[in-house]
Parts: sequence; C-alpha cells; structure tokens
Amino acid sequence: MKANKQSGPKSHPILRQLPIILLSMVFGVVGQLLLKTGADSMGPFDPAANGLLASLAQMFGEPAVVLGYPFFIMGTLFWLVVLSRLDLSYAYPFLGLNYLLIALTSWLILGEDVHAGRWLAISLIVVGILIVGRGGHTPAHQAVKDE
Amino acid sequence: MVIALILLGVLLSVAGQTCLKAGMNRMGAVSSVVSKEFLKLPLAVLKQPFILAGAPLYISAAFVWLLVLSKVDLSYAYPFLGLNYVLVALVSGLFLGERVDGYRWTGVGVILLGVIVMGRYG
Repeated sequence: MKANKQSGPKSHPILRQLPIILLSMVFGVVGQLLLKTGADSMGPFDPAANGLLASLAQMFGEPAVVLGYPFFIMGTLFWLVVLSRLDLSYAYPFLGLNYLLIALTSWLILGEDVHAGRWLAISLIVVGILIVGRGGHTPAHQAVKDE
Repeated sequence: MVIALILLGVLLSVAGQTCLKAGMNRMGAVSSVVSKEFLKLPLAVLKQPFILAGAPLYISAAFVWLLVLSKVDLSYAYPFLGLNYVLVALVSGLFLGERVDGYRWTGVGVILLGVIVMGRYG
C-alpha cells in the first residue's frame, strides 16, 4: 500500500504505460515484417503500368500483406492510447526501445551476429530513455491546473 | 539533395506525431484498452481533424524514408533519425504546452548520441 502514496503532482506512470507502449511497438514491427514479406513475394509492383485496380488486387491477393495492415493499424491505435495519456515529449523517447527489440529479435530468433558497436549504441539509447523516465511526468493540462 | 529529402522526412514525421498528440489531447485519456471506448477508437479518431491531418503526414514520412534508403546507405541516413527526438522535444514545448525539463533534454541528448553511434559503428 505504501507504494501507492504519491508525492506531489509528479509521478512515474511509465511502468503502467510500458505494456501498451511495447504492445504498440510489437504490433508495428510485426506489421512491418509481414508487409515486407508480402512485398518481397509479390513480384514487380507497378500501378502505373498495370493499372490501379490490378495492382490493388495483386496487393490484397498476398496473404502477408492482408495480415500486415491490421497489425500496423493496431500498433497505431495502441500508440494513440499512449498519446492520450502521456506527454509527447515523455512518451516519444521510449520509441527508441525499438532498436533494442530489433537487435534482440535478430540475435535470438534470426541468429544474426549483433556486434559490439550496436550494443553500445543501444545501451546509450536505453540510458537516455531511463533518464527521461527518471524525470517523471506531469501532464501538460495538469501542470496548468497546478500553477 | 538527399540531405534535403532526409530533413523533409524528419519534419513530416515530427509534424505527424505532433498532430496525433494534439488530436488525442482534444479527445482526452483513453481509460482502458479492454473497453468499449477502445473498440470505438478507430471511428472516434476519424472525427478528429488533427488526427486526420496527422495520419497522412506520418505515412508520407514513411514514403520519403523509403525514397531516402533507395538513394543512400542506411548507415549514412540513420544518424539523422536522432533529430526526431530533439525536434519532438522542441515542438512539444513550443506548441503542445509541455514542460520539457532537464531530464527530458538530457535523456534526448543521450539517445541522440546513441543513434549517431548506431549509424557510425552499428
């Protein structure tokens, strides 16, 4: 119970919002991967030469593309929920976690060799994110009320 | 020339995020992602002019970025993405009335450094 006590208007809501931020990022990345997979197996895509309708049919005949868009849209919706709750200048830096997610998945799942320079860069980004989070959050509209 | 294109992509992306945030500020906080409110969100956001403006900006930013990647190496283009974080902090303070404190600026500075290292040595 004692952890619930808030000291002043500043709080650190990121721990509560982190699941939705991560959800948004994971849906976004999976959507991107599906669209990329679909685009690769689709063959030449040329609406100017083949006509718009034929190109749309070609695109939506590709299961990975059809599956990719909903993922992409879900990622965006979750991000809008995050934006509805947090300052943009507080929430946006957390998107840097994408670099960590991508490095981890390429290392653990794809078996790629992620070299030291990239881990150094990712460490810096994560430290930066932790600093932003450490500063806490006073929503802009609440700040106006408090003053 | 490519630099201009890269900067255009960055600006479109930051403008898109700013519009999305301005739109959500007008809608108010979404209480839960397991609620009717969330199910209605796709329709609700379509009535927000700022979101309707933000989405195409966001999508054009992605297109410009693909164009950039078709012209130059990823490792050349990558560090410029760090500008996103700086500009978002700047614009949030100027246009959204957010209090961008020392923690946020310091954090953004360290992230910028990380993105630059990623481009150079990643």
